[in-house]
Amino acid sequence: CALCQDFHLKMNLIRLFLAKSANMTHQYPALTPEQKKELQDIAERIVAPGKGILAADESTGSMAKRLNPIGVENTEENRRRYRQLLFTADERINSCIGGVIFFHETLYQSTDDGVNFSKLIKDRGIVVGIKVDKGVVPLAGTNGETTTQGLDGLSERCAQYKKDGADFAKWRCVLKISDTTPSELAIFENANVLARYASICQQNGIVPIVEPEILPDGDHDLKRCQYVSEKVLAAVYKALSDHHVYLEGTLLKPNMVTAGHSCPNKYSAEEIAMATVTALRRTVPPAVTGVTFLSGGQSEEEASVNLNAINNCPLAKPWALTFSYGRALQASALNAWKGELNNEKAATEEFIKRAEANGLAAQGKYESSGTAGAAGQSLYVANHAY
Amino acid sequence: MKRKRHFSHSLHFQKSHLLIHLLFTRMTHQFPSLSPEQKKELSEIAQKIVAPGKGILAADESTGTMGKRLQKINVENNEENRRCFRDLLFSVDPSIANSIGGVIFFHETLYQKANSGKLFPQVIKEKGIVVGIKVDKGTAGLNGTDGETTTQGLDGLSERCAQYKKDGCDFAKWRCVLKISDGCPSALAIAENANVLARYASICQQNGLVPIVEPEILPDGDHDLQRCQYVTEKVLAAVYKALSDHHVYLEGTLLKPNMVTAGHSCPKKFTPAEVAMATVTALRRTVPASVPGICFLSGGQSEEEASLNLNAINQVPLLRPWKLTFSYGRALQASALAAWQGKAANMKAAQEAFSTRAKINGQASKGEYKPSGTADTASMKSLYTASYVY
Repeated sequence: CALCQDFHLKMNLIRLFLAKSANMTHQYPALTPEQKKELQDIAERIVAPGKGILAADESTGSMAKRLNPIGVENTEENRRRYRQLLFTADERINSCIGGVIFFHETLYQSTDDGVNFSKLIKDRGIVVGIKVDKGVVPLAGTNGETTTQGLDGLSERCAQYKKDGADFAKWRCVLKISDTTPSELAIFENANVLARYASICQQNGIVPIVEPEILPDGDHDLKRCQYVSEKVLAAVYKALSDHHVYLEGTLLKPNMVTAGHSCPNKYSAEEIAMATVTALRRTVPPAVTGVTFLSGGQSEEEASVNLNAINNCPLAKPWALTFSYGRALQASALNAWKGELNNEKAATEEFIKRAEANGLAAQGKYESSGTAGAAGQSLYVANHAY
Repeated sequence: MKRKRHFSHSLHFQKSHLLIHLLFTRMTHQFPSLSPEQKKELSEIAQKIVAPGKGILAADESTGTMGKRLQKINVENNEENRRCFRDLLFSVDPSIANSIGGVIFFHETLYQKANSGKLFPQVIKEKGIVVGIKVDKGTAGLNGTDGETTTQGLDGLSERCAQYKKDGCDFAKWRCVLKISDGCPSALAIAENANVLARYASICQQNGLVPIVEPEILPDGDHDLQRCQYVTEKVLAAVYKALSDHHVYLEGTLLKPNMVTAGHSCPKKFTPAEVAMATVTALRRTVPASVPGICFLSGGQSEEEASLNLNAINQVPLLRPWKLTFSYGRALQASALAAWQGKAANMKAAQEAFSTRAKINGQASKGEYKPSGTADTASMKSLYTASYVY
């Protein structure tokens, strides 16, 4: 009878509760089911089919490097005007941009009409992200290797960013390849700090993008980059496991596997794609919702062609494979703008063009139209750090 | 004209010089452990074992363990009886190869013969089934722990593997054991077992054997499903970090884990759908997609339980990039043993029983097992517990 059933149910619940207090179900769950669901939903929205990320989080110092070449003064107003022309692009970007990464200053800037940038992006259905690391610092006793700082007060900062509209964050670690690097310490320390950052983000409802960038500087070949990428990523995912990070609520932002910039051998997009996907298949658990590649020093066109090849690689790929591009989405826009009000529309068009190209590449449907113009120029800068 | 020739000659010289420079000063990747041909061979063996609809017959019971099996049916544990029973299994109809991709042997059995006079490995190979060999030498105590163990067998393992390869084996198996309690598994047990599994795997691959990596977490205890899932995730994360550290080629390995289940004395019971969801979630969080196949051990599960759970696993609505199949011992042989009773007259019936379980598990490995009298796939789906977040 219904009464008995109800009694049995209640007895089971009591039993379960008692069982829970006597034996840990799992040790000290880090997140509630609701928190997990929210994180996974955010991650899935960012890398929805055909969508990727606009990395517009250049620090003030990095923006100088962007604005100087086009003869624009690096002022707060110019930075605001520049981001505005990106963020006010028309509805065409809604189907190819799933998230935008902000720099702290930009999160609190507004359009000419006084609309807060964060609100502007969020209201058009794009997820707002925030760069939270505080740059690289040296690891003493290594060959010029670094870790990344920014953990102090990170939880409180994340809580505030969440209130101010952010739903994901980004933290960049940097490793380099040489005869003696990356060292075990560099791999371990960077993996650990990424895991701490990720854990803190999740506690505050923020999806962490985990970025262990291996720089393309050097003359190493494709195989060496693949080998190093596999070691680094294996360490990253061990650290994430050790720190009880909920993988379904994270994204990975790795380098593609490429030869070093001074390598005499040149590799095709297909070779890069195969090396990249193989490395990821060997290290990134299927539970990770998406992989959003950094463009490093690649030209706009290269970055799109390579992403396209990656999505056409004939190996099973259990995660979304898309973009989180900075320079590779903005180079042509910057060149078209040159700081001039009259050029704003044209600049925005250049950005939309690259956004759409990469949206297609994320589905393996991009058809390259050659490498002419700004889109083809290599954006490589030696030993890039921002 | 002279100048042109001189120019092209010096360019050629520069190129060669650069190549030599590259060869001696830049490693492509550090000390590759396997050649492309070796990798190809390993990968193909692994794929063959877990071909669609196929799994593994774990017939590698040690002499001591066979004693426990035979005692139950009042059969004397001697060499001939052990040979006789394995012969019964190995000489079934060749159509068994539709469900069985590999057989794991115990050392003694590898050198025994069928009634026909053929060596057992040959009998198996002729059916198109891959021959495997248990190579570990049992567990050994970890001092200072709460009764935890590691597994021994690394001494001379490379030479043994080389010999087994000559004698017809193409894969190997090594079992590590962990247990769940308030204080277990300890960090040492996890690290030590992961490390010894990785050493074993590395040595196997050097000798052309695909290593099956088995980090069994025992079902003993009263812990619930969530606890088993948590521990399984920690153990598997450690295993794959160790395999990476030891430069093991994942595409040429197989994993043999426990399913994620509650402990035997847990008051709460969980459905196959719940077991399946917890299992697949744990694997998705830890096992890289490059691992071609995951072949579950049956542990203490009954034959039917093991099939139902495997079937549910293959119906979980989450992306599963590896094959999910079986490597069953008892769950393939229990009925056959019971039917046999050590009597030649019962051989056919026993073989029938074995073939039936093999066929069922082959179906389960595709999520196509439809036990008579149970719900169809659609209503199975409704059994996934919404409230349980994994």
